[in-house]
Amino acid sequence: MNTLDDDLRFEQACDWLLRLREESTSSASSELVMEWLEWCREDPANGRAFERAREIWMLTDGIESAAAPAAAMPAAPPDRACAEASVGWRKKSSRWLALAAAAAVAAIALMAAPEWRRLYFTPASAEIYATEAGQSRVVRLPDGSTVALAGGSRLLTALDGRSRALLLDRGQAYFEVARDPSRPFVVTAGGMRVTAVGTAFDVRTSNSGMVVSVAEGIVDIDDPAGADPHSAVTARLPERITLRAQAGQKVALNRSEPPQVTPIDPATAASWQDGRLIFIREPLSAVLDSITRHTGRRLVIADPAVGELRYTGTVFQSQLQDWLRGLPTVFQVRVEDHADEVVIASATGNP
Amino acid sequence: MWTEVALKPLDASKPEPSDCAATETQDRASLLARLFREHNRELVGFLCTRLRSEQDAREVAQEAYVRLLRLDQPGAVSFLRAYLFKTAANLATDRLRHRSTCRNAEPKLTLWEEPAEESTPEQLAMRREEAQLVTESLKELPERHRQAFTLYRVHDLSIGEVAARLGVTDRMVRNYIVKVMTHCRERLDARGARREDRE
Repeated sequence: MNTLDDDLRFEQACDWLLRLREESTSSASSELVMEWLEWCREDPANGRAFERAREIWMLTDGIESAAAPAAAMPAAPPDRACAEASVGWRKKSSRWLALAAAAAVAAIALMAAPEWRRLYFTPASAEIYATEAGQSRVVRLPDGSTVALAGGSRLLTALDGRSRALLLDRGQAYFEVARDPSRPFVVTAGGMRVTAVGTAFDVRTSNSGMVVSVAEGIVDIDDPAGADPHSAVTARLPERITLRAQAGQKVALNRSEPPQVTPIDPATAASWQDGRLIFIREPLSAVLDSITRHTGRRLVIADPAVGELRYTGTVFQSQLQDWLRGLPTVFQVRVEDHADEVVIASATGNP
Repeated sequence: MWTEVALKPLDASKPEPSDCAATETQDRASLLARLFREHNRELVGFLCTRLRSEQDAREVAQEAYVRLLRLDQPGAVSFLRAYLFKTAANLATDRLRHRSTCRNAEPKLTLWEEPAEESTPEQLAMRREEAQLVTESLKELPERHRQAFTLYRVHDLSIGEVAARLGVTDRMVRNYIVKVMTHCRERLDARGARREDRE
């Protein structure tokens, strides 16, 4: 039974909802939003009232049939085409589109109504894990997933009752994902978004993009943000397109080339954990960068053209010195071994 | 409780800009983690008022966090919090605009697929039932209330436009809409109570 107080609070929550919607986004005055946040925080009951108001707001997304009783409540199961149509529908659409969209909207409203109790009682967890170059660590996340974080990496995790979002800010990590279809496991890296449900895969960022290797199951890779002027490290995919990769595939994405899909042995997706770094047609700059992270040995490129050379092969961390010695036999480069770093320069340029 | 913590700005004249940037990004990542802990529910709630699904809202929220992490010159926490909501609001607008103009994508290679959404049959059944109840609740209200709500919610008119259409004040339109929401809530609560009694 609701008290008078609850009723009043709910009305206030509805009023906030209308005001937030009115707020023109082009001139978004953040004061109103901040005022609203204060209100939500004043009393937990306020926050719950707003949550309830927006839950009901979402549920009313499919009510057109109420205004036109002749049209039966659409009972079509939600499918992808419907979901896509519904989000695109605005008031200027033609009548038939509106009708089709109303059906779709009803379908998506059914899918989207929040289970607010679960949301309330699952505490959000957000953590940052970082490693120095040359070290690595294994992290067990609250959802049961495991992450092996390579050297020189940083991972930001944000898990709550309804989603699992991770940001691989730099470096490389191998993910073994605990199955939970209601909470997609989403890793953002190098400007790309990798979505998995119950699978194992490796993500490596580089200075020009990112590489995903799938050991088990399937992952979807898409481009969440569109062009982002703030980011120096952003790979690109055509907008609103998702690339699906499965076990035994390696997908390389960078700014300047179309996506490259290469078959791999699924067992090698996590090979860096055994000290083996495997590269397939990758720029030498990305290769050296990766070795630096894993081993802590600073490898520096003196000439940008050298960084563009393509390398295919396996680097054993325990035999790095041999690999460096062999490099001039493969490429036109010379290797200068200094105390604190190794410089790789073009052999054809000025000495 | 918010305390003001100024972030180290990037300084190009420093001898080791990469180390400086790393520290700065580290600080910001901690701040973002805190923002997420304290505000994610509100952020998603806020976005839900603008977008068509909670899934969309969650995606836009994630996108906003990522944008924040890439900021060149972040300021104090209070700024980051405001910026988070503003960024999210802008992204939501972009998303609606983009979806409404570019729906018919070009034919795709079989390699490319849209991401699938998953939901349990129980959840779907329950939501279907709730949506059905909301539709019925609306029919029990006076014609005026229904019209105002439908124009606002389904036809996407602004409060002002609805007021002009119905020849009433903005205030009345708000009252109608709040009344409809309240009525739906009462009906849903009553059903929830009946269900608990049965159990």
